[in-house]
Amino acid sequence: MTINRLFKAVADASFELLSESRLEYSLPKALQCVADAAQIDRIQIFQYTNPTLKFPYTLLNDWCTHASDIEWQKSGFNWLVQEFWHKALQDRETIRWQAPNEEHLLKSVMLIPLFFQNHYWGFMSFETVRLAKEWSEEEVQIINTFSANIAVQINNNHSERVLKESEERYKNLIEHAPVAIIVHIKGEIVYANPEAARFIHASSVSEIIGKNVLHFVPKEDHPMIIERMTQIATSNQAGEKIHERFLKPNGEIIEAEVTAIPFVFEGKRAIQVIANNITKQKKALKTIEENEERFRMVLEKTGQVVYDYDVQSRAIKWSGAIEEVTGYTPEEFNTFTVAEWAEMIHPSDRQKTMELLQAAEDNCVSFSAVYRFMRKDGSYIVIDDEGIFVKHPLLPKSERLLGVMKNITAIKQSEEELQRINKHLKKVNDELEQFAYITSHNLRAPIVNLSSLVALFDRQNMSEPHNLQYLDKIDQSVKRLESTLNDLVQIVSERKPNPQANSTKLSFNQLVDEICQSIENQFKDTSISLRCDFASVPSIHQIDVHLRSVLLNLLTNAIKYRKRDQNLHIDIKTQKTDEYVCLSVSDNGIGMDLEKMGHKLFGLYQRFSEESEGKGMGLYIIKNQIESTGGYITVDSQPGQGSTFTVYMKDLKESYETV
Amino acid sequence: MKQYDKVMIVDDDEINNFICSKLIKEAALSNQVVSFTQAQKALEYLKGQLEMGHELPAVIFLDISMPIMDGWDFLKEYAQLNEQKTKNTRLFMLSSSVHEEDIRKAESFKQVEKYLTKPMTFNTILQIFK
Repeated sequence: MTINRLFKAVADASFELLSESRLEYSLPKALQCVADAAQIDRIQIFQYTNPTLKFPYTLLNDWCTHASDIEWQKSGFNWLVQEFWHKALQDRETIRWQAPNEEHLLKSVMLIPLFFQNHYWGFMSFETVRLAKEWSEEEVQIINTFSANIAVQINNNHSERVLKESEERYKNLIEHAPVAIIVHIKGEIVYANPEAARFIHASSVSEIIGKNVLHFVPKEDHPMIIERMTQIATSNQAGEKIHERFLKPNGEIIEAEVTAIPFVFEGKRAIQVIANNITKQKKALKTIEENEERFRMVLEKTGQVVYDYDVQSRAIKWSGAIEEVTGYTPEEFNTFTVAEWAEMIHPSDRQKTMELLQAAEDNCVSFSAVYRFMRKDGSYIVIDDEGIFVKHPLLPKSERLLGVMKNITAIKQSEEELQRINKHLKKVNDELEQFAYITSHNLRAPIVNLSSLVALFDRQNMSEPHNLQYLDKIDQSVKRLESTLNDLVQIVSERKPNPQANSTKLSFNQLVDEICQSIENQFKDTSISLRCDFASVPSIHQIDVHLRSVLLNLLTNAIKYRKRDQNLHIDIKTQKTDEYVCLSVSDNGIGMDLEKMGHKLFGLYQRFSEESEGKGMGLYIIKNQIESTGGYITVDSQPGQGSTFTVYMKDLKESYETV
Repeated sequence: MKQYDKVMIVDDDEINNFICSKLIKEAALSNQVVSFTQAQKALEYLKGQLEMGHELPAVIFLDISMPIMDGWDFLKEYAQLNEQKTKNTRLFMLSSSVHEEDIRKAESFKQVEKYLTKPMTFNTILQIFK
């Protein structure tokens, strides 16, 4: 065994490794050469892979002379690598071992540490079973060189594979990318992925390759594209993402978002272009814009103002039918803050609205309010305001209020009109029902009596003394019937305000004087003290008959229901309220329990005393008279405490003058 | 036909009371008819009878529409009287009202035996008291 032989073997092995890059073929041959030359039975390569394991190595390669001798293979050296050897190997020490006696299957072992780029990489073990080999220093040197070579080869092979894999992956990615990718060198397309062919509606990739990029760009865009290409090429930096137009073979335009980056392709400077078809997005955008336009039109035509209120900054963005609803231009209106908006709310509605707003903001819920709102010209409209506060789920406070202000003035007015009519109809209907009830009773009663009396009348014996009595009663009944019918005629005529009965200016003093004179005879035995105070309102424009009837009825009522054991005091006075002239008549009479009979007081044919001879029509009639000109009547009384009737009348001067 | 001791009429219509009283006597329902044109007077009369330990009228004819105290008010007060004393009295509403509402309301009082619509006739008396 000579050094030369080993040296030649190592050279052969190195050649094997160089000529064949696939290690799986070259490595066994290389190891065979060395083993034969050095009379070694087994060479193993261990890579240091997992420091956490007790045996931190992975066996990369195992070559041996007696592959069939399983016993021997099992007795491999693995177990012999002990911790202090492992440390020694890391310190670049070569380890040599010889069997202490003949019984060992393994006769000798040499371990050579392997380093790659100055890092401990693993080791190679050279084992003998036929004889205990003694390694000379020269042999160790040569084996060291060989081992280092092996380590480099293994590593190179590995990095080449990694590179190749990553290239494969990249190519795969590009080929299957859902965006069009081309690579061009000075405009000439050298690569295109299948999506690029689909993008430009070419039948295949080969149809694109070799063509100039400008072939697929509309003529008018050529200068822009050329400039961009030049700019990317000279700056060697990626171009900004831009919108470009491309031409399909049929002449149709494709809109795309394009990124271009400098790129090295097969050693040449190239540009990689990535194009994303946004024709559909563009169409979608257009649809959105059209929808927005439609939405805006609906808002404007239906008189709705949309707002977006930022709680923090207190700023509001307004849109929709601003000008139509508020009278302000959108520009003017958009300068208003929430405080200025609040100023435009009618003072009577402001506080309530702001409270509702605050409550909705505090709880981050919907806001709903109806309020009067002042337009630019100072007129008021009724607004139905519906909004909702929104916030981020993780934040405690409301962030925005989104809502709609709707002009519901017309609806509100017709609603109120309808309510007024409804109320009026209900009242008229109630009155009519009561009227029908009362009249049927008051008409029916005397007729029933008449028929009974006629039945009782003795026709066989006309001189029968009872007959005279019956005739007397018949006469009474007829009179009663006649009187009821007269009442009805009067009531019906009072129910409708007489268009001819224009109002005239009436002095309260004069009227009271006239009425007192007319009833003087009737009550001459009664002691009455009458106090009048017409200082604040001495006169009124009213219908003469009405006011006369009101005063007459209230005065005679006060006299009828006086206390028999006391002097009667009557106070009459006038006052002015916002809308009405208020006439009150108070007495110190017997009074009444309003809880018991208040609801009947102004009804038809309601009498409240046996002693007095009233028919129960007076209050009913004056109530109708007062209401026919837009007034009303109230009463305040307690049993034994006297009564006060208060009449609220419209001064008809205005309507009189405008007519 | 059974003869009753005393019949009471409460109605503000005097002529009605006159007619009823004539018919009751002619039909021999009773010889004694007391009539009131004010319900509160009629009530006072009933209370007075009870205080003196007298029997109440055996039959009462009661009108609805009357001033101050109407038939309904009277019925409410009448219901407060000692039931032992009023249970033998037969009370009839006698009104010129033909309104369904009045008839139903009358039937809601257990003291009311029947609602009669005016006029009262000889036949009415015969039918009820035969």
